[in-house]
Amino acid sequence: MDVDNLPLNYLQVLKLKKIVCVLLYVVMVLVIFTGLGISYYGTMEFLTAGLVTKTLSFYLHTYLFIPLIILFALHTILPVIKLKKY
Amino acid sequence: MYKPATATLILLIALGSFFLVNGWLKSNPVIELDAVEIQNYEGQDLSSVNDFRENSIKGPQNIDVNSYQLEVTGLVANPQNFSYNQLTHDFTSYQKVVTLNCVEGWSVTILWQGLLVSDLMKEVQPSSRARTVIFYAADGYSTSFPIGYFENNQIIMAYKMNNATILPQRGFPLVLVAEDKWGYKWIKWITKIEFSDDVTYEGYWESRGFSNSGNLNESFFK
Repeated sequence: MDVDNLPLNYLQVLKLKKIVCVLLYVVMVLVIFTGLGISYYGTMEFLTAGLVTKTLSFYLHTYLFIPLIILFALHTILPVIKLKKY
Repeated sequence: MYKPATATLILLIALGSFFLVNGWLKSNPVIELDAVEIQNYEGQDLSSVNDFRENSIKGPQNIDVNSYQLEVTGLVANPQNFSYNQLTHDFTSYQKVVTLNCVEGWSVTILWQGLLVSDLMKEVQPSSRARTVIFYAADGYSTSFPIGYFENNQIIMAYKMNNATILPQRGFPLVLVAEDKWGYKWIKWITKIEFSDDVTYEGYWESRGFSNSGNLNESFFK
């Protein structure tokens, strides 16, 4: 396969899939750690020298929920898109 | 090595380390009660005293019952200190099943027994200027309520849960059973009650972004 001559939309979607994958991983890690920051706020504050507080964890954990769902949906839907094969 | 796999491995190691540190910082001693804990009351299943999650700001407080005094002060005609014996014997005892709902998502349903805050108010006689009741705990925690919350509701300050004396891990000697409020309003290890005209007072979590009213039917964020 001549990679240099692949249709542009195919490359764009590949790039988008990679970006979504990385973002999903980052958001997932944030959701996990902010969840710990709520339930185990004492330990989290100890480990982060007070930077990650229970309140901050709560806000992030709550507002990251929708981005997580969107990224997860994209992550599962994008591979299904049938592109015009070269 | 495949990058996502490496990242996941690091994540798992970080999580494992987190729980190791957490275990080192906190301990879960066996709770021994002074009476048989009841599990059911008037057909209603109760949670256990072990079902609570320990999430206080400085861990369980150990208060010496012999030297304990509840200080009631502020805008009152008759400020007083009450000993534990006075609180548990000189006031009419009430019991009620109330569910505590924590903002973290867990809840416990307990049979609480104690005195009414309104009965205490009758003793100390708050001034007409008093608008806010501020509770202080042994660990520096505090929270507040409008005075009307106690005048219009039968709010208990509990010294027993599920028929057993409240343990240090759960707030001995007194826990405020703040009905219809989120768990952070249920102050434990109460050492002082102040009647104030300061309607803007914010307690520990309230000054850190949590709602001052703490009503269950509202968001706990400000």
